[in-house]
Formats: sequence, structure tokens, C-alpha cells
Amino acid sequence: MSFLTNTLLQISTAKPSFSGDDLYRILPELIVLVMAVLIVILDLFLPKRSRPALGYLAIAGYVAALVATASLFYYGNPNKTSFSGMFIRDDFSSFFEIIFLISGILVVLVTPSYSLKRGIPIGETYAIQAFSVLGMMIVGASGDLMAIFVGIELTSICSYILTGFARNDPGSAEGSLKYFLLGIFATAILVYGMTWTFGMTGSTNLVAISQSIQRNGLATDPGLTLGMLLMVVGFGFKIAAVPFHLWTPDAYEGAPTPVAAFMSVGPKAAGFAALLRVLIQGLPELAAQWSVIIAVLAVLTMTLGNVVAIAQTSVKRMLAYSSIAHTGYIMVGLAAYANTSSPERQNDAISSVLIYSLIYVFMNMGAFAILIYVQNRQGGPDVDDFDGLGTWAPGIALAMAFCLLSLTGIPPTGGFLGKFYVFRAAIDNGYTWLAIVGVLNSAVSAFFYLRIIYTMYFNPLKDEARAKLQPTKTGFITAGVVVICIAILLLGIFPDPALNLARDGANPLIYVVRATSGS
Amino acid sequence: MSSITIAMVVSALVFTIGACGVLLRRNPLVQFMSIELMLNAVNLAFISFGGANGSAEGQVFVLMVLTVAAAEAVIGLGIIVAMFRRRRRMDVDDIKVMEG
Repeated sequence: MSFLTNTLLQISTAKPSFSGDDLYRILPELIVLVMAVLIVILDLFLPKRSRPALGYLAIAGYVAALVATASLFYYGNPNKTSFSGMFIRDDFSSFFEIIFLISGILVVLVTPSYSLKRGIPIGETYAIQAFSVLGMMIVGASGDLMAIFVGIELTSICSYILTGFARNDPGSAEGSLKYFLLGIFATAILVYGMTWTFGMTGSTNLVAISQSIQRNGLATDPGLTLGMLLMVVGFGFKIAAVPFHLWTPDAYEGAPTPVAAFMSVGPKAAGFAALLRVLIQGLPELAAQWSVIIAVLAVLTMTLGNVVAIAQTSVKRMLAYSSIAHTGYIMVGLAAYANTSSPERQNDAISSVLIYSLIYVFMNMGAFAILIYVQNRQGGPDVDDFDGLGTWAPGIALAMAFCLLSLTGIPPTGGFLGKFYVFRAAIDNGYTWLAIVGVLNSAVSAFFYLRIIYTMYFNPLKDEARAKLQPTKTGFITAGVVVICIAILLLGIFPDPALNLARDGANPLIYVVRATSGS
Repeated sequence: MSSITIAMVVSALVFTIGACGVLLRRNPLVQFMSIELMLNAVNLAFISFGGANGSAEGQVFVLMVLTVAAAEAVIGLGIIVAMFRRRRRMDVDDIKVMEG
């Protein structure tokens, strides 16, 4: 009974924390939400043949949200929270929102030619993608375990639906079921970890958690360690880290290719945003413990992803394993954070994670976009289908070669710089061995990326296959590929603006950690 | 034993039973029910931790978990029905169009 009155007292004395400013801080999220609901409604009333035009609405919504995010960049400091600390508007959330919105725009560009050809409902696809992007944006901007949980689930549930969208393809339902079962299994583990963290620290707010750990000396508490471990496992599923990656290849292969492209960049980046928020903002005192775990997972993830990718004959499956490998590279930067106490070095580590996530969106989406083009023309996603691409679609082949070189990490592409920053952060912070493993893995990955380039330029297209080439609409995909290639090139030779943004994006986390350790 | 210890032991037991169900049973519907069991164990833990900490956050979190579980049930049953229409039989060992 006393507990009940306690609670009621708390609720009644909580200061009113809702104002117009709160809404201003979530402006990008509101724009995406309104856009998604509009698409759902319009999709009901539009005749079937004009539904693809909803893509313009989706792109307009994402661009408007991007403009809103850009105007909010540099607006917030760690104190600019909305809804009693649930939502944080700082440069970190703005940077991740830019990543999510860009992946949203790119996926709208690559979707229509694939979906229309296969009779996948296009309006619903755009709407669910938009809801998924909304979930990611909530994750990036959350300051509370509750908001992270809701955001991650919104993203995941949309991904389950999108994976199963190709009704006529038996692989689609199958991949969707596997993804769904393992995904909600991971969710249960994740939220059990959140329970223990809440139970030990008495709060679900990330800043309050880190303060409570410091005040009560909980850094070595077994209950809290259990909570941290369970949460790392849960997020490990979402970012597809080995050994929690089992769903990835099947879900990607079964999913419609644009959805696989989306899943490999968006929800993965959202998982990293959640990991950074929880581990660095909420559990900095446990850094010594989680750093080792993340480092070991990074080695496993890089190695298994690259080695298994070699054996694949389907480019789609190969890209699935390659996306696992890239998760490993990004985790190197996260592990590097914990080994230093100098703010500059910590900023190096976090900003390397941010910049790699951004570059990865472009290069992976580019490779998938061209895979979609080849699937539209050839019908299949196998390496053989790339035979002679250099002769029958020279521009597309050149772009594919560029994206693959970037994924390998060869200068002057953005991929090289991403790897450079991640590995440099690892070396600076005493993880030289981790950087060496990463470089060796990049060398292994060159094998299967360059094999496709070889196929495109040196294997001739057989005559019977040439006769069977199907026509396809290329307008949107070409636009997307051009944007992607320019972005990769710009990030490769002129990275300073993006890098400065990433550095500013990394600052709030470090600032919060220092503010709590100072008190 | 204090009541919080009892509640946590029960919750850990239920969570383990659910996890074993997911790993050992081969019917997706039963696996799905086992995961619901795990989520309910989480809810029990949240309620009792919230009571011990004297904060309302635990109870609010339970409402979130319940809502998400309901959404997952909708999606999950939809996927399972789609699979069943295709095969007339449910066993995860049959799901092997893709391997490698």
C-alpha cells in the first residue's frame, strides 16, 4: 500500500514536462510520421497504376525531415531533452538521423523497378519503410531504455513484415519466419537485460543509470554485469554480430532485394546507435568489461563474415555475409573507445564508428542497387549473372566496381577512409592486434569482391543469356547509383566536412560521460 | 527469503523454461508461445524490481512490453499462417529452401 501511495505521489509531483519546445525537438520524427500515415491513407484511395507516384511523396518527406534535422544540428546540448529525458536532441541524434534518412531516400530510389516487376505492393512498402525509419530515428535520439526498446521494436517489426512481402516467393515467407522467431527471441533477451539494469540502478534513464552506478559503486555488481551481457546479446542480434548472426543470410536471401539492402544498412546502424547510447552513456563504468566482449565479438564477426562470404555463389548471400563482416569493422571502433580516458581519443573512436556507418550506407546500398538492376535484367542474383556486365551495361559495371572497391577499402574511395579511421582509433587506444586482424580480414575480403569485378569484365555473356535479357525501368536506380558514387568519391577524397560532423556528433556522449564522472 | 528474491527466482525460472522451449520445440507456434513466456517473465521482474526501487518506471515499462508483444503476435501469426497455407504442416525442420 505504501508503495502505491509512493508511486502516486511521484506521478503527481513530477513536474509538467511538455511544451512546444518538446515538439520542436522531435520535428524530423513528426515529419516522417505524418508522411508515413499520409502514404497509408493515399494508398487506399489511389488507383493501382498511380501508386508508384507515392515514391515522390516519400522522398519529399525524407528530404523535408533532412532539412529539419540539419536545422536542428548544433541546436542541442546534452540538456536539451524532451518528454522527461526520454528523447535527447543532441548532435549525436542528429548525425544518426541523417544516416537513417539518407538510407530511407536511397531505398525509395531502388525499390520501384524491383517491386513493380514482381507484383509486390508498392504503397505499403513505402509506408512500412517510413515507419521503420521512424523507429530508427527514435532509437538514435533516445535517452531512456524504454524509448530504445520501443524504437528498436518498431524498426524490427517493420523489417519482419518487409522480409515476407514477396508473397509468390517461398523463400520470402521462410526468411521472414526465421528472422521473426530469432528476432523476438533476441528482443526477450534484450529486455530481460534492461530489467536487470533497471533493478540494480533503480532507473531506466541512461544518465541516471550511470550516476547511480557511480554513486553506489555498482561497477562490479554481478546483477548489473548480467544486465549488460544480456543487452549486448540482444543488440548483437540486431546488428548481426557473430555468433548471433544466424538469421542474417536467410533473411537477406529470402527478402526482396531492396528490403535486404535496407535491412543491411538501416536497422544495423540503429543497433549501433543503441549500443553507443547504452554502453557509453549508460554504462561507462563497466567499460573495462564490455570493451573486451566487443573486441572478441568483433574478431569473430569480421573473420566469419569474410571467410564464409568466399564460398557463396549467390551475390545476394555474399553481400549478406559481407554486411556481417562490416559489422565487425564497426565494432572495432566501439571497442577502441573503452581503452582510453582522454576525451580526444574517445572522440576519435566514436566518430570513427559514426563516419563508418555513414560511408557504409552508401557503398552497401550501391552494391545492392546494382544487384537489383542485374536481377531485373537477368532474373537471378548469382555471380554468373554478372557475366560480361562490362559489355552490356558499362556504366552500371563501372559503378559496381567502384562500390566493390570501396567495400574492400581501396583508396580513393570512402570505404578506405572509414577503415582507416576505425583501425587508427584501435591502434591509438592500444588495440593494435585488433587492427591487425581487421587489416588481414580486409585482404581476405578483396578475394570475393574482386571476383565479381573479374566476372563483369573478363567473362563473356553467353549468347543464349544475351537473348534472354529482360527490359527494365532504370530511371530511379540510375539516379540512386549516381548519387551513391558521387557520395563515395566525395567522402574518399574530401572527407573533412563529414568527418567534422561526425566529430561533433560524437561529442555529446563524451560530454555526458565527463559531466557524470565530474559530479 | 524476501519477496523480491522469490519473485526474481520465479522470473528467472520462467525465463529459462521459455528459452528452453524456443530451443527444443520444433513447432513455430510453440516456439512463439515460449517467447511470450519469456516476455512475461520479464514483466514479472520489472514489476518486482519497480516495487523494490519504489519507482513507477518498472510498471510503465511493463505496459510497453505488453504493447510490443501484442504487435509481435499480430505479425508473427500472420507470417505463420502464410507459411501454413503454403505447406499444410508446420515444423521448423521443414524450412530449408535456403541453406548454406
